[in-house]
Amino acid sequence: MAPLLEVKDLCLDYGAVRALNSVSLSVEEDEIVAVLGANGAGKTSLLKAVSGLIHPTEGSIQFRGEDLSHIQAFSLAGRGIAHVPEGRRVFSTLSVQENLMLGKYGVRSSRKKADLDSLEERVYSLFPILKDRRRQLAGTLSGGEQQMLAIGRALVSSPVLLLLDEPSLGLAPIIVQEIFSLIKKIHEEEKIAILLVEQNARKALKAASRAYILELGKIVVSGDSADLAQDPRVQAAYLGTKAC
Amino acid sequence: MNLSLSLLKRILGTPGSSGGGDELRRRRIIGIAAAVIFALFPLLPFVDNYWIDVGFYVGIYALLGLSLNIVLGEVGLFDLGHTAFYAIGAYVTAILNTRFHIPILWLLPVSAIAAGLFAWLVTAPVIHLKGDYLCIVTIGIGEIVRLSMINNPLGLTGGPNGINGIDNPHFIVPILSSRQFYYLLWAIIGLSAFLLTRLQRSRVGRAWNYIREDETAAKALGVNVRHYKLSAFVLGAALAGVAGNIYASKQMSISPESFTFMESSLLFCIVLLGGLGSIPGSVLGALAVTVFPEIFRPFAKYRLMFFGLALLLMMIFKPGGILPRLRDSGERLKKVVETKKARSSKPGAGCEDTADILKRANSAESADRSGSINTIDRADNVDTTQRSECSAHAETGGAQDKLLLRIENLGLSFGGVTAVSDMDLEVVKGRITALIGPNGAGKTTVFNIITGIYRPMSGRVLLRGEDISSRLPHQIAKAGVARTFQNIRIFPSLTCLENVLCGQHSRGKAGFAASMLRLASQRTEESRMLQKAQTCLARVGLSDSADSLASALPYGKRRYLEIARALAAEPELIVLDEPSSGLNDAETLELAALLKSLVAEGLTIFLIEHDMNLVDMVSDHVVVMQSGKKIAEGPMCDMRQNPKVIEAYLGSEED
Amino acid sequence: MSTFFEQLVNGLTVGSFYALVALGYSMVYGVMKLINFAHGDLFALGAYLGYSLLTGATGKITASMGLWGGIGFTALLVALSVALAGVLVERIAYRPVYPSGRLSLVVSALGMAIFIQNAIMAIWGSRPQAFPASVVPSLRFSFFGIPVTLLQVTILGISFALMLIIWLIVEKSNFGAAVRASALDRETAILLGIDVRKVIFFVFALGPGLGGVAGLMNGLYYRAISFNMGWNYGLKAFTATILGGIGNIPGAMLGGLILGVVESLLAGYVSGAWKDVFVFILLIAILIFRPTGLLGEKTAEKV
Repeated sequence: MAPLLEVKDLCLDYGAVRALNSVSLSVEEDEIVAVLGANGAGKTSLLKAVSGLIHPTEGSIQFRGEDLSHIQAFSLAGRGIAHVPEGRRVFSTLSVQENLMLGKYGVRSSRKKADLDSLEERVYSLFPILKDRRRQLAGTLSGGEQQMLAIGRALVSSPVLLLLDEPSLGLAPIIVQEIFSLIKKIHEEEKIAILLVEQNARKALKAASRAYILELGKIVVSGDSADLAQDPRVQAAYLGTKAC
Repeated sequence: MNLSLSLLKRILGTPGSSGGGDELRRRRIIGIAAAVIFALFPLLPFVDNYWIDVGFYVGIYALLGLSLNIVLGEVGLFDLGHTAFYAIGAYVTAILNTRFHIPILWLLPVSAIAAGLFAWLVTAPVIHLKGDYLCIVTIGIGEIVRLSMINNPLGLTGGPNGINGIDNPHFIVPILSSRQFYYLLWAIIGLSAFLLTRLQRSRVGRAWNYIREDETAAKALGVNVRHYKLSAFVLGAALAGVAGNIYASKQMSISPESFTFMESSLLFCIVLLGGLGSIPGSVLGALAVTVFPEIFRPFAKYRLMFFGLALLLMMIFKPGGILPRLRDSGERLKKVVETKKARSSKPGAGCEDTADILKRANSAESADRSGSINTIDRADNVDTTQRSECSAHAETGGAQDKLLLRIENLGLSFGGVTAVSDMDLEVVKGRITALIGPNGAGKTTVFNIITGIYRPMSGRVLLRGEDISSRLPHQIAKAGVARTFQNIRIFPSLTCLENVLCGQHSRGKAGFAASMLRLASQRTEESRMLQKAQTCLARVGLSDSADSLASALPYGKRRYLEIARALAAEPELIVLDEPSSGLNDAETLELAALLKSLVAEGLTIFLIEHDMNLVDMVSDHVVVMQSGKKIAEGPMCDMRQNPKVIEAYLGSEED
Repeated sequence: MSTFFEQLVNGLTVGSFYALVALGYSMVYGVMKLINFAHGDLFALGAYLGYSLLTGATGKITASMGLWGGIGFTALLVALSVALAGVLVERIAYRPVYPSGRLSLVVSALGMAIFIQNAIMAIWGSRPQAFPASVVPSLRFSFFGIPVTLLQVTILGISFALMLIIWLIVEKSNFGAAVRASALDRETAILLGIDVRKVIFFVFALGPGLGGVAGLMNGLYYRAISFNMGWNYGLKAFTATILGGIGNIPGAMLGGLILGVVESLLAGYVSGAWKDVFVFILLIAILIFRPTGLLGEKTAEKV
């Protein structure tokens, strides 16, 4: 059976700069896959290409066997891909509840919409703090709460695949801990496949079953998380290789 | 009329701003032809007074177009109330002339000064506003002036009917006929265009353009943004005041109806139609805007409708305008400041160890000039050594461990989110210090504080022991700190040479008068700046691209251009924000070599970097930040072993 | 004291025109970051279309549908036609120019404004036209001692009803949240499945539609209309937009009403001739001291 998401030979250019160079990866159903790498390695570009925000120069992206290259970005949300962008990007002057409500916006069919109301409750039970603050403006939440809201907003569309871009960015270690255990919980309880882009390699490798390491737009290492956790090349991707 | 039409056609027929020599030659021919046509137009047998008057009104709009072009075209400030300054000029002339019978031509400078002063008064409090907001304020100013004229304050302005009985000017003979007015006005336009062209090719004109292209970069490289924005308004208003004076004396009566928002909009369109910052463009735009409705006079009812439509179509199909400004080549810039004497008599003092670089610079230059001018003289002009050229405060001997920059207890937060707190840091002279840390650690914020773009909430930034944390960016640049930006901020529609000249801005002083009169001191300074800029371009291997637009450079070269621009500021400390981002492996190696050689010449470098291999290759000292705080510092090798650093990058080991 | 209340009612009436027009500026700016300079002229277009409907059919509309049905029908027709014009303005004058940058957009917006203004002149003539007298019977009555006319009540009723509807749509509906989301962060809005093209269509239809109705009511109120009335009303409404914080929808309504009242009181108590000067000074003062408007929040600038 074809994987849930299959990216083949993806190349992406910003003007004269090549951000992604022949990247291939796949995500199976019910799996967490991590993409690791230093800042500027092309991780965010990869996610943006998958969700149609930027158009690749070459290569193909298939989701459930369907080629995504000619599909409008906004219609992907209704097809089961939810993207939590880097930096959370909650709508700061909208309330928490409105933010969550917008998460369902892309879902078209009314039958499914009815199911989603229960999902909203589910999100509130996953993140009880959001329920307490649902009338508050999203901009007044703390960083960790905003991250929960951004993830919750993605979950209410009942996605099959969740794209998470740097969920730990700028958060205190204890909050990072919380976010990662929530990610694992979501994966286990909701049966959602997750493509996780992270700088925090150790945490990501613990959560994911497989991982790819990007360096300057190329995948340099890939494999099982357990193996990669021991691999010196992971640290090298962040902190360089030179021996002292 | 036929003549204007055919002229219009011919000019419209020319293709866009390829910027090549052919285009320049064609423009020159057209320019001379246009000048001849404008000069002879009123003398032609079939041109009656009606059409001479049309020519006069084209002139008024041309002068107003030139004046708005300073504000809108050169500096990029949205001014939709420019008519206010024109009105001030006209009313000052009318009031002083009718009440005190002061001769019109004496009032010409008075009107200019009054309009300029008014512009200074009303724009000084709002000059910091950005884009649309400034645009709205100018609309407001325009309306306030017009409504005030209608309301006849102190019985001065004559209310809605305006002021009648304004004298004609008297210049040797009384100026009465349409033809005389036409020549008076076009003589003034010619003079203005001449002086404005000189300004364009000077430190002042370039400073305006830097602000238009990228205000933050201009600021960080030493341009006093506020001063140059205000001066553009004042100069533009003064010129509009001149137009108001001539208009009032020609009409002999003025009323508020002539100074509506519609007029301001028309002026805006003239500048955009002609091409932003283009002096011939403004004149041509005025011609188009005036002559178009005249030609369509038979369709009186529909002509302005068509005009609106034409504006729209222009913006769809030719958004750059009819005659976009061609940037000057380095050769041209040099030619205008170098007298024959200077070209042949300057002694050379080249240094042995820099001979190679000089050769490179000059061979590139001579290629540019296609061998038309004596190359050897030019080479001799480079009279200082390469090393001191590109690092002004270079000290060959001296203490290696001297502290250049010291940050103490720095803190800054944005809306409750702490970006930097309790940050201490030292940068030692003559070394490369790297600031690393995971995304979002606050590194760029530290850079923005050092360069004065942000003001810290607590702590100090000491440069050579002096607190600079409350200084403005251009002052810090002048004090010897130059920077580059994470997401490359070059001036895209200027040439590479002009980009680099920006660095030299803070090392020059020539102002408006010196630039317009092209005083000897200004010429010397300009030629020194040009030389310096060319040397710095050569330093990063971009001599061949000196005359091409910065936007035409490939990505990797833009990084180098930014570095050259920073070097041209003759800094003591150069601050680089992720210089390797977007570069491939080979380019990164090149960059490392360049940074090392700069330090060898005495420069101090402070950089943010994510590419640890580059940090490895170049840095003497590494500071690691996480969540706004310094967590470790030392040599890169140690940092790689440091558990705190590893944790910052890779996350904690235990759950 | 009764002068005060008279001025107040008059101010609210004029302010409701400003508010309706300001809504259009604010919505378009919020989503597109663009000042729609043609918006004032769309307001004038609304006035002229209303004039033609009310006079052209020689009162047939009000005759066959009754007074209130007739006015409602006229308002609906005007709103729909001006909304269509608004959408066309976006398609013709803005969409092709977006890639060329903000300055070009200003010029094409001005070009469009000149076009509409002169098209109105070409169709209806350059002389001011007069709405038929007393479309709404000129009844005067006293409301808690404050003298008001039936026309004022009608205008205020329609305006407040419209503003309430807009407020409900924008602040309370799903689609309204989508509009606000698109204004805040277009990319994330797309990620959530919001079709931003629909949002753009919406703001360019609804804003001018409301402006058109305001034009019609303005004609009913003052009777005299002229082809270039759009500039002045546009500028005033734009001031109201800034007053409330550009891009802020409740702010635009509030700004319009405040501006109308302030203007009326200035005219009544200080000087009628200088009121507009004060208004523009107020505009500049707001931009200096509180550029995000009365209801706006401070935003940090990123380098």
